[in-house]
Amino acid sequence: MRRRTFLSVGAAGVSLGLSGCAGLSRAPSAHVIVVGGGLAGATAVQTLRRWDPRLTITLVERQDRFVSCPMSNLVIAGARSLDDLTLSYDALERRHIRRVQATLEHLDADRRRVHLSTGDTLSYDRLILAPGVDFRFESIEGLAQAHAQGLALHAWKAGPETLQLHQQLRAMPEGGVFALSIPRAPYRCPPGPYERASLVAQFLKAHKPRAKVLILDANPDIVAKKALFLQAWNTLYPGLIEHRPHSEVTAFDAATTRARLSDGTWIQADVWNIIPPHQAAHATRSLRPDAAQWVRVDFRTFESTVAPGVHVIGDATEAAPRMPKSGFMAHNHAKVAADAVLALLTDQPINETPILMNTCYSFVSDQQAMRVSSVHKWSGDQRTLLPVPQAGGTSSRHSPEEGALAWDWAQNLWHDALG
Amino acid sequence: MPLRLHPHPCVFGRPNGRSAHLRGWVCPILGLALALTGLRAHAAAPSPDTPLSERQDRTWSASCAACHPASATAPASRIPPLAGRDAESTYRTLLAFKQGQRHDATVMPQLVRGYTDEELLRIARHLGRQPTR
Repeated sequence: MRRRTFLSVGAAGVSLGLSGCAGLSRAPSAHVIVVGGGLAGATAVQTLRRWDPRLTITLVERQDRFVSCPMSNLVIAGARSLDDLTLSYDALERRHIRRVQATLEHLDADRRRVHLSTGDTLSYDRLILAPGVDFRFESIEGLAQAHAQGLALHAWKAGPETLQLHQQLRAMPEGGVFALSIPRAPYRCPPGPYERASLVAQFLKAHKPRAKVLILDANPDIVAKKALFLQAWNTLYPGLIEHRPHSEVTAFDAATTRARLSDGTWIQADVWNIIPPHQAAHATRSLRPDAAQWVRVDFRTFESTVAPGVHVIGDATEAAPRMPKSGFMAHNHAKVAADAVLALLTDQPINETPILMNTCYSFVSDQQAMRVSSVHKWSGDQRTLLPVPQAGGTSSRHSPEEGALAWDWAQNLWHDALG
Repeated sequence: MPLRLHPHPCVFGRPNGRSAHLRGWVCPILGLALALTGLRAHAAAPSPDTPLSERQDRTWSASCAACHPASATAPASRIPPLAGRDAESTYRTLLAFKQGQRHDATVMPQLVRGYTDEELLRIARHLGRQPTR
């Protein structure tokens, strides 16, 4: 194993002292490390570079290519290919963003160092963690084994499982049941499971019209865009989708491919798609005291409330009220965090009035989509981001126009992060 | 070498963070005054020395880049690019969204209702200063 150590000049601790001389800046060698090259992390490195050409930036990412979670339900239904959703990291390297293909093994926030799976140790002046989520397979008895055997895929991180689930859908018997299990909120992409159910239903209607989609929802009701989804299901796929609330899967029996619900009943299905409960990814463990599942941050800076110098963005954060774990939101987190990191590196005031937006598009067929939007502003009284009451809302109904906008949105989001 | 705005008065006497409330009042007003008198920051790469009000403008505006193409290399889109557009025209469009006068709109009216008119003006002006290339 290679062992190398990069040590950069630690400029973060150098205070200017000459408060009037804003032209004085920190040493040009200030080093920001971003861990995680998903929508949050990739947007962060690109934004840091756009706003500061002199910064030394390293992206630590396990994969050699980016595969988008947004739009990946279209791949499961056979309406898009995984290639349509896959982008390279080459553009980052052209902008002198160093990329290390590795995972974070250990964070030493006191000494401002990260130890990586490659054996490297990197020093930083500011660290941004954008590691996404881990799945808590252990919370459902028998799931880890069933998942490893391909009997209960989640396909909730886009990649090989996305294609595997598409193949299982194609191979499903006529008149079969596709069962989709949704964990209790919060989870990544609140409307995502219902979008998936819609797209699977469209596939079944065309190819296996006697088959059914069964949604086993751990939540008491449809979590997002309920009226819009019900309208779409009733008009496009009447009788094809059954939604069962309060139906948490607690165990899976690989031998009989049955799942047990919290009320003790066993359910049989032909294809099982079990989305396990989530928590913030392992890289954030030292930032989550008392075994908390999500990372608490100051939403003005996205700095961890327990580890100075460490910022956390994207799905790993403990959400502010009504703030979804979405790709759009992760992108907006990255913008606010990038500005805060640059301000804190140069001892400048932080932006006390962040404003973030969100829009989640959901496809209900390969052509038609609808959306939900919100705007979130910092409340000095409540010390968090709060949704602006008079802002936000949903589409009036699904439409091909919004389907086209949804695809353009994704293309642009990918470009802003990776183009 | 790109021109930079002179360091903003608001960053003088940098502080302990407690005077942020005051800054929040002073900077937008100064920022607006500067913009209205036609003094423009060159639309080059903003530097880390960028004043707070300008940093607010660019961070607020950066949210738009989730949907709107922010560079000429972005893929062709039904969603219009915003960089370099006439600020007054952008501002009027945003107000029309906010007042429900654009019946062809989808998401924009719901989003702009989250912003004050002054915030929209600052965003419009910031976007107008960005290069189109």
